[in-house]
Amino acid sequence: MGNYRINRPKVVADIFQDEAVAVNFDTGRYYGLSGTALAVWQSLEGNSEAGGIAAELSRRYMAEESQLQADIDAFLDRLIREGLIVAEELVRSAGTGEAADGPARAAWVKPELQVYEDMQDLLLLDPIHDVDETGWPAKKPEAESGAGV
Amino acid sequence: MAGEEAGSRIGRGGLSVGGWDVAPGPAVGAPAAFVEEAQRTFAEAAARAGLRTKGFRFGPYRAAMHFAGPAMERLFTRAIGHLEASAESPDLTVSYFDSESTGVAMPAPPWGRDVYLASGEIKGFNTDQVKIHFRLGFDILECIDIARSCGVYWTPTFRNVPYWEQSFPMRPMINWWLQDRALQPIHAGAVGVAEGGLLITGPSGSGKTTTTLACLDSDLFYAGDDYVLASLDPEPYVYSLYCTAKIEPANLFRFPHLEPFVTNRERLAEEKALVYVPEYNERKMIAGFPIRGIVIPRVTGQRDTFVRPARPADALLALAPTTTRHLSGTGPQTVRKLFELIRRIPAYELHAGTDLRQIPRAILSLLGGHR
Repeated sequence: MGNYRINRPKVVADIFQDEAVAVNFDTGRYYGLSGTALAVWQSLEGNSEAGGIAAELSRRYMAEESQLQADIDAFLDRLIREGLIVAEELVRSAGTGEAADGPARAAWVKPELQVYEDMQDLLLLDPIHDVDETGWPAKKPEAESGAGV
Repeated sequence: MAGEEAGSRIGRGGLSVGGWDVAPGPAVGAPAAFVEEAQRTFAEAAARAGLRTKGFRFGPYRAAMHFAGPAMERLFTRAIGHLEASAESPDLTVSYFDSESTGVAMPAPPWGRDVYLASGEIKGFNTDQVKIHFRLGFDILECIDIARSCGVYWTPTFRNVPYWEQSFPMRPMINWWLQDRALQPIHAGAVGVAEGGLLITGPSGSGKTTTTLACLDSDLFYAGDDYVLASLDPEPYVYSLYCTAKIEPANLFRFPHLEPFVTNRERLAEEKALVYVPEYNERKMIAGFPIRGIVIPRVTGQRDTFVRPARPADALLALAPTTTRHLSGTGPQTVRKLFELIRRIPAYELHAGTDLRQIPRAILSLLGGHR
């Protein structure tokens, strides 16, 4: 079974009406998750395995079982790559379970992750500088323009 | 001597591994020791150049700003002049000096040359309670010991302090000091009346300043156009922080009444036009008000202005990334405070038209429903 969890405390997230907003403090990136992406994210709070997530979503969305599982697996891989979730094992689950009778299911749409901000460059080392005789970095010969805000 | 003790605790000795010098990691307590050393250096500078002290309010707190000589005082007190208060028993103390005007050099840093992050953070010299940042290219050192509520701001020469740095004094220090408190500096404008007002948020270039300044000649009052202080305890409330307005030169034509008050007219090719609003009309400043909502401006290019509800996630994404990007050393606590703020106030899109007079009318109409 593949087990996943939200990558706390590096990730801070909350749900606002119909969209989750998540922040990864390692990268400084902000993410939006709505629609089926939100459904997967909400499932992660309660489920830790891809099969369980697929089983839960198959009760809410109409989709071929294999397509649903494939889309969820791909989305979880994306969340892992972005550092939003971590996998504790990468073995995929065998099945998704049968859809139970219940309210009418919505059409399944492949989940997408919205990326809003990239502060990654601020977390990189800036080695291109010289230190002067006082030991402090010297101002670059051609100073950058003021871009504080 | 205290300096030598600080030096040995900081651990300036290196070691060689395989023929390569390896800078030692900071000793435990090294960050706090550095702040202490910076304070001692400030004291030396103040003894030489003369100590000057000003007090200011920020939210319910008070700060004392100490200056070694007049050079730095002139740069950093104008933008918060409207908040001047007693310097007695401050909650936070920040000391400012430069080496050129005081003749006092900052001792060499106890860290190597390869620890400067692009964000300004000195890698390995920041903890939960001590922040040390150096802004490369501008040569500005800011350090604070949050537990002792004291910080130091140093630069080699006052002449190179950028204009925008002067427009929001103590911004990082205030942010760091407030990290575990209920208040939060946010990248937003704020206009309103004593009974309530709105935050105006969005990244630079989104119309935030135009929307905020369009309200100057209306029944609305001005708490800021760039950074304000938001509180959630007990209710959402905003405090003014800075009385400046920074206007893109290309947009200055929209505010002919402000043109005579531009303080950096000769540098508009490189800088935004900087205005101190009290110099235009001190009666337009307001210290704060309850927050009744948050507005995301959308510049339409059409004549008329209209408002419609916005999704909370959109408001958060207009406010949070730009706030956390500008406030170096921001951590999860900041984002949680922003999440909570958005959760507690309604969000709107303000589709701003070219007839700027309609903007304050639209805002007053919104507030009319919330008073």
